[in-house]
Amino acid sequence: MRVIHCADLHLDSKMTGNLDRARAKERKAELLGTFTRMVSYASEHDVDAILIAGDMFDTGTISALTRNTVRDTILNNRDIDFYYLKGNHDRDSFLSSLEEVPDNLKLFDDKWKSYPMNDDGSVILTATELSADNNNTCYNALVLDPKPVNIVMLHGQETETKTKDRAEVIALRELKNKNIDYLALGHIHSYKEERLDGRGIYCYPGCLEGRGFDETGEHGFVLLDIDPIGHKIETQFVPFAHRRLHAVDVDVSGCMTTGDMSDRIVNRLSEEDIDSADMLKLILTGDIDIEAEKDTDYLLKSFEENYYFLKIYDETKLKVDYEDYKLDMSLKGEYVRMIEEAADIKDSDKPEVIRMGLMAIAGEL
Amino acid sequence: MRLINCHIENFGRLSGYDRDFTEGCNNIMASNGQGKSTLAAFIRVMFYGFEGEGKRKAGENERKRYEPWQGGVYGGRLRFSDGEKTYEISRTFGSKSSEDTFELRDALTNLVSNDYSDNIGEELFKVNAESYMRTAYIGQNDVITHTTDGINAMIGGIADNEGDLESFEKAAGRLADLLNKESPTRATGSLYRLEGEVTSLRTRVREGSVIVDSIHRLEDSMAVRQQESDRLKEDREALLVKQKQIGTYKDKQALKDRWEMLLSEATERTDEAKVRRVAFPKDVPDEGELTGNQETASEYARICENVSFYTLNSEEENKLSRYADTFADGLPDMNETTVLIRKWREHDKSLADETDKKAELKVLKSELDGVRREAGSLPTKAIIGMVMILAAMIGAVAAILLMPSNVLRYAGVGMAGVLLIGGVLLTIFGIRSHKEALEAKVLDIEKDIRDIEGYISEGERFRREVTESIRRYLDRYGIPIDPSAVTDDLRHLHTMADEYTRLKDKKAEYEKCISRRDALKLTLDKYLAKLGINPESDYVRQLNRLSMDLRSYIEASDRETAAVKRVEEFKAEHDVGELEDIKLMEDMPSLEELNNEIAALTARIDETAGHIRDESRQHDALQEKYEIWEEDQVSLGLKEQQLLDGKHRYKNLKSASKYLTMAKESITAKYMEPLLTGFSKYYSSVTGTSADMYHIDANTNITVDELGGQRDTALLSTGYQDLIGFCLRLALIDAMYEEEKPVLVLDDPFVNLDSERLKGAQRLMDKLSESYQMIYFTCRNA
Repeated sequence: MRVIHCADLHLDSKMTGNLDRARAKERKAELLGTFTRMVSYASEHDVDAILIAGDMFDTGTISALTRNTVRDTILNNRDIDFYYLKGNHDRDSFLSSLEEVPDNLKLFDDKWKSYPMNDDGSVILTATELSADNNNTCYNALVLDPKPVNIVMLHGQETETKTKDRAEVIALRELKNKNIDYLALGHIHSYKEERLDGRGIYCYPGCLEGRGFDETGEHGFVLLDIDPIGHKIETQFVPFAHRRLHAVDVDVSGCMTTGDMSDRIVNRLSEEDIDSADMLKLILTGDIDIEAEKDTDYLLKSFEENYYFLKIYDETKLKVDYEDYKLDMSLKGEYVRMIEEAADIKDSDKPEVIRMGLMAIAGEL
Repeated sequence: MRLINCHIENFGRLSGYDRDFTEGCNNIMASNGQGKSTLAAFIRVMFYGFEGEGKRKAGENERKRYEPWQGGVYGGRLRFSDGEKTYEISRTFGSKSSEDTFELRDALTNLVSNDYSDNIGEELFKVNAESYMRTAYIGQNDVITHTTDGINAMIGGIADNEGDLESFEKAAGRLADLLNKESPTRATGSLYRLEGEVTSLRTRVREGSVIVDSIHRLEDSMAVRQQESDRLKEDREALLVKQKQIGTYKDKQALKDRWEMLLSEATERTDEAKVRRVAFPKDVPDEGELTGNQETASEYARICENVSFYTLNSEEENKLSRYADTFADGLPDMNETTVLIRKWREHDKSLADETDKKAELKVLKSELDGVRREAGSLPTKAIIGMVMILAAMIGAVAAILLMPSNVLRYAGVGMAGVLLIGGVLLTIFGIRSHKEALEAKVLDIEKDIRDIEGYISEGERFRREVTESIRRYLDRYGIPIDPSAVTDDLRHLHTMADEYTRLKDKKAEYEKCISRRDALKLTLDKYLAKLGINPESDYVRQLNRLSMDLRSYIEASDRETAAVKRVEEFKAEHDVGELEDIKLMEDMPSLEELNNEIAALTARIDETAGHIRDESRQHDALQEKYEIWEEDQVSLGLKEQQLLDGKHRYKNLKSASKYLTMAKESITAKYMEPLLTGFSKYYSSVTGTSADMYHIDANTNITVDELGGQRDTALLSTGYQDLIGFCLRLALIDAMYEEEKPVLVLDDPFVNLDSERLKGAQRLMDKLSESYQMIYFTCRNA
């Protein structure tokens, strides 16, 4: 049988962290669209079940569009079972909005609950919602029959040991040698697959779609091909995000002009595989001369048409070599020397104050 | 410091260039493009290295600008004296600074000196390269920079060669403008406005925080209603279960009723079958056999009718007896009779033909006589021939007698001869052909006469034979021939034969029917006897009645069988014992009451669902507000950060403004007095008059006493303004280079001055050469 393991969809995320209102709305719709596309993929590839390992929604307040789309998608794909485990972001609002829970939507609570995933019960899914109350006790309560293929689903941050009173923590050590074949996890937003013990593996599929620049790179879901007779699970990460996000550092040290910096950016981007539909954050780094001409707005305008979204973070540091001005008899030299000695200006602000004064003198402010 | 000489290996356009420098003014006359600026740059680069390394101004990247045009070693040497010592700087340049070499040697010992590093320019002059370049090099246009702004510019940028540096006032003005523009206290300030927006957003965000509570209240309410709905649904489910139980009971009761009805029906059908069975004293007749006997009875009835039909009456009996005698030897052959009738018709026709032939014979014989008479007369041609002979003879005579000449006589006799011959031939031919034609005709007529006579004779023979054969035929049946009624007699003979055949057949059929009737009766009587039923006169009616009784019995029996089968089937399908044990339910609510309760609960469930939908709509509306509130929150965060950044920037701008002013004041204080002293010195040397009338204020504005007050120097003539500007420039160099004086490089600064001012400039140069070594580039000999 085939199973999709996804997590951290965070539907209805605001998306306004980087984007303006219109694009945030568009991106929000893309998140929802990626979910429905994934279900279509499942339908077209004979997938029997979809595991949603938590954080399907970003907040408890779910928009009507998202609520209705998710509900209709589940209802329109009755041959696919949706196993939905709530995560720390999910509230009951989606479920309470349903007049009736669809037959193919399987839910969990704070007690271990098992569902046979196929007709002969040779694949069993067991899951529970972790809470501060059950986090310490749930491990002992998990008893699995060794015969079937056992999938266990949890939402939380992996650790090696139990942590008292913390809901979103999964003590991997406590889940070893529990006859688990596949530990389907959610909470961490990047893909990760590791061996759990001699029998099983654990896997975070990561979020389905990157939202911010802390979620760069490929995102998607994990496709499980389960052979219950041979007791084998083959996993494959399927990149599926509508757009990728990239954060690229560009060292512009030594550049004296915006043009120089533009050249550095072009060279740096040529090393990366970035699609025009992707979102890109350029981080300008390095030390630049106090008198260097740098126009990040111009750089933004130069490159932003190449991508769906571009932002430029200026993390460059102004480099002031006071020695350069020591023998400068001009107003500039006098000004720099006075700033260097100024007690009422923080050292961290001095380069900027110097730059302002020099630019004023140069008529460039 | 004094320059002694230089050797340029390769530098820009200069290659293998050597020059010695004297004290005072070194005039170098060359036209534009001959390398004056390159030499000036070489001198500076020897002291300071290349300017603009890594700097943003591409134009300042001198390394590239002065790369040797012709290749070769890039660099050169410069020898200069500093106090008691003489040094030689050697520099070579690569494509980048790390490839450069620097060497300083003591010119006297030729040993490498460590008195100065490669930063010898700064170490020697105590000013950086930029300041050096902006002071020691005086270009063509610098001399006319004499306004207050120009002085400020000189102090601000220390005499920028390019002349594009803005004044301090402009810089301060820009900062002041920015401070005003971004002011957090002025109504037009961007920070002030931003602060207002932040305050407004904060209020909206604070006020909007209740949206979340409202959403949560609604969600709680929806949850409560959902619970209420679930409870109602549970109640309804319980009632539906009860309804189902009652339904089950009612179904079983209905089954029991049906069972009893089936049993009753089976008994009823059995009784009915028994009643119908009485109609059969012995065995129940087989339906097929009965049907067969019914058919036999029908045939019997039909045969009885045939017996009546085929019975012969007395007349028919007599006729049959008579004809039997007539045809004792057999019946006449119809074909033979037909042949005889046809031959008799031919007999009659032959007789009629004979009459016609005889008339025709008579005509032929008459015609033969006529032909024979015709043979005795002359034919027409013979007559014409004879006339022609006669005419020839008369013609010949007439010719002989009447013609005047022999020629004409001979011609006439000739022509008469010809006519005579023609007449003879025509007569002979006419007589012969007439005779032959008549002989042929006689032969033809005679032949026809013989044919007709043969025909008549043959007809008579035929008629005799026919008459004889008919007579013999009729004789066989005792009928004499009557030539006038031969045909009728032959036909009547056959009519009699037919009648005889018919009567004989009828009698045979009658006898056959009698035999069949008796056999059928025997069969029917035996059948009825087998059934124990006495035969009646009308077998058909009796057997039909019996058939109806049998049908009734079979149907009753079928109904009995079906009823019994239904009972058995019901027993097989249902637990009859359980049905029989069903007891009446006590306190069983009526289905109607139950349905009413279910309907009421359904209505409440629908009502609750309606409330949930209403609240859901409100929730959606609040959700939209929440989203706007969220956007406001995000916006507030951004604006607050903007405000924070803006205030920080504003603070830095204020610091920049403050310290720029302080720097300006400091530098002004440092240079104002030396500037005024130097200016007075140079002004006096040029003009020969005191410079007391000129003042320099704290803002380095230079004014002149004029018309009872201090006036801007712009009021002075252009020549004075130029000289004032140049004197100020020199005063500035005096003030800046307190220790080692630089070599002044003057690039034709007085090119635009008229002769009167040039004299003043010449005096100034003479004065200047007392304290400075100068390299004076000019393109004219003046």
